[in-house]
Amino acid sequence: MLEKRDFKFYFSRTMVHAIMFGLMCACVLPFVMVISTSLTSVEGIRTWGYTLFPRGISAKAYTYIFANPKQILDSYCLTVFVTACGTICGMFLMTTFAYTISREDYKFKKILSFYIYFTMLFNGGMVANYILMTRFLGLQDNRLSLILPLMMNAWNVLILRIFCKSIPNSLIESAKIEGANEFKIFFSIVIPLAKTGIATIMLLLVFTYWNDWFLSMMYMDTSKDVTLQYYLVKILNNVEFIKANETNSGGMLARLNVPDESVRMALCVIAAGPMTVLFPFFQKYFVKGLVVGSVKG
Amino acid sequence: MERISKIAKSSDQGLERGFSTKVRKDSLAWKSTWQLSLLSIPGFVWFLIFSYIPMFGIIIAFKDFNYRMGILASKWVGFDNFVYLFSSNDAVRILRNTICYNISFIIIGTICGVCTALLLDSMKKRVFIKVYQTAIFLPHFISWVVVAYMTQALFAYDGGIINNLLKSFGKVPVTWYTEPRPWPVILVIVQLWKTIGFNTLIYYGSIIGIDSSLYEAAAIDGASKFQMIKKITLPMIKPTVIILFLMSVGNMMRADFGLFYYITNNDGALYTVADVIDTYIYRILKLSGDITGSSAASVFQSVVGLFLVLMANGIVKKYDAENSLF
Repeated sequence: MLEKRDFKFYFSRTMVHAIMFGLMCACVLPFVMVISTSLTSVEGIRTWGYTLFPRGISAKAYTYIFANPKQILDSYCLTVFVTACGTICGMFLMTTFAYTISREDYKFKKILSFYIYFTMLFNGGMVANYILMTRFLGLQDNRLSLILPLMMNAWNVLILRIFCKSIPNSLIESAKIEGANEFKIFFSIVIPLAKTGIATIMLLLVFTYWNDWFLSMMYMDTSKDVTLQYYLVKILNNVEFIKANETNSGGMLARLNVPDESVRMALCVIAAGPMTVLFPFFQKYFVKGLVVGSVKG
Repeated sequence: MERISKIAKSSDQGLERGFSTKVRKDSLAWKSTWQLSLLSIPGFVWFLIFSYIPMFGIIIAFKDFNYRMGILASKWVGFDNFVYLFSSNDAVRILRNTICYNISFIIIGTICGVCTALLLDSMKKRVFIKVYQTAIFLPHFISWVVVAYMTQALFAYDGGIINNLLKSFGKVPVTWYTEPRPWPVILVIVQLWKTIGFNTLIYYGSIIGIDSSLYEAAAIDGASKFQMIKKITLPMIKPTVIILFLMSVGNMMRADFGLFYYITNNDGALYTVADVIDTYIYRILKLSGDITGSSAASVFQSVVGLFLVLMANGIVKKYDAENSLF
C-alpha cells in the first residue's frame, strides 16, 4: 500500500532531516573548531580569534609541541600505562566476579549480587574515599592511586553477568562430568563464549581510564606525573604552561613568537584524538553494551 | 549368628554404596562452591576496600577530626558539623543549585532524548540513522576538560566565537566568565549537548524493541502517525523512562563535577549559580583542608541519596509494581 506522497509527507521528511542535521552539526562543529584553531597561525588568532575554519593556516603549534615533547609525552606514557594496567586488572576482577554470580547453582549468588548492588545505592562519599586513599593506603602521589579506584564498577559487573548468563548450563554441566574444575571451566569455556561482553566492558573501561582527570586532581599533588586529561587542565590555565616552558627554553618564551591558543588546542587534539577517532569503529560494541545494560536494568 | 552377620554385612555394603554416592555428590557441590568462591575473592576484596570501608568513613562527619589522633580517637561531636554546615549561606546555595540543575537535566534530557529517538525511528534509510547516531554520540566520548576547551573558545572575551558574532552585529561583547546570569542556561545546554547521544541511544533501543505488528494493526485502524506515537510508542517505552527517572532521582544530590568546575573555569564570580555540592566539597577538602565541613556535606549527599532512591522506588512500586528496581 503506497503512502500518499503529498506535500505534507515531503515537508515532514525535510523537517526531520533538518532537525537531525542541525543536531549533528551542533555536535560535530566544536570538534572542527578545535582542530582548525590548532592549525591557525598566531597572527590569525590575534586578528580573528577562534574560528570555525582556519584563517592563516600554520602547523607551528604542532612543530612546537614535537620540538618540546617531554611534558606531553610523559603524560601520554603515564596515561597509556594506567589505562593498560587498570583495564587488564579490572577486567580480570570483574569477569571472575560476574561469572560466579551468574551461576544459578552457586551458593552465595544472591548475597554477592546484593553486595555489589548496594554499592550503586550508597557510597562513602568524596571525603571518606580521599581519607582512605591518602591516610590508610598511603597512596598520595602514587601511580597506584590512578589505577585502583576505577578498576571495578557495579554497573559493569552486572552487565557482564548478563553476558555470562547467556552461556548454556548444559555446557558447564558436561564439562563438570568430564572432570573439569571450576577454574578450568572459567578459563577455557566461559571466557571464549563471553567474548562480546568482555570486549564491550573492556572498551568502556579504556574510555573511563583515558578520560579520567578526577584521580590526578585528587591524589597527584606534588608529583608532576598526571594523566593526559589533567595535563590539559593544567594547560587551560596558561600561566603554568608558560612557567614550565620558560625554564626549558631559557626564559626566551616571551620574546619568541610562541603559538599560544593554537598550542593549547593542538595539545587538546593530541590528547582527545585517539578516543574520538577510535569510537566510531567500536560503536557497535558500545551500543550493544548500553542497550543490554539499560533494557535489562 | 552367621546369618545375622551376613545380613549385617550386605546391608552395610548397600549402605556404603548409597552413602558414598551421596558423599561424592555433596563433596562435588562443595568443591564447586569453594572454587567459585575463590574465583570471586579478588572482586570481593576490591569492593570491600574501595566501596565498603569508605562507607564506615561517614563517622568522620560526626567527629571533630584531628589528623594526628586519627578517626577513632577524635572527639565525638554529634551533629555539630552538620549544624555548622547548614547554618552557612553556602549550604542554601549549593543545595538549591544541585537540586535545580538536576531537575532541569532530568526533564530536558528525557524530553530531548525521547524526541530525538522518535525522529531517528521515523527515518527509513539505515545510513542516515547510523550517521546521525554516530555524530550525536561523539560528545559523550570526550572528557569535560576537552569540552571546557571548546566552551572557552566560545565564551572567551577576546576572540571568542560568540563575542566575535556579537561584534560583527555591532553589539557589545560580554564578559561571560564574570556574569552569572546566563550560566544556568549555558550549563543546561552544554550538559544536553554532551548527553544527548547516550539518552537517545537508550530510548531508541527501547523504541525499536516495540513489536511492529502493533503499528500495523493501528495503521489498519486508520491511526495517524501522531496517534501511533501517543498511543503505542510512548506507553511502551514508559518502563525505560521510569527506571531511568528512578536512577536520576537517586542521584539528585550528586552533580557532575567536571561540568560545573571546568566549564565555568572555577570562576568565583559564578559560584552563586554554578557551585554545587560536589564542587563545594572538593574546594573545602582540598583547598582549605577542612575535613569537618566537607565530610558533613559528603555524608549528607550519600545518605540523602540513598533515602531518595528508596523513596522513589517505593512510589513507583505503588504505581506500577513491575517497573520498580527492587
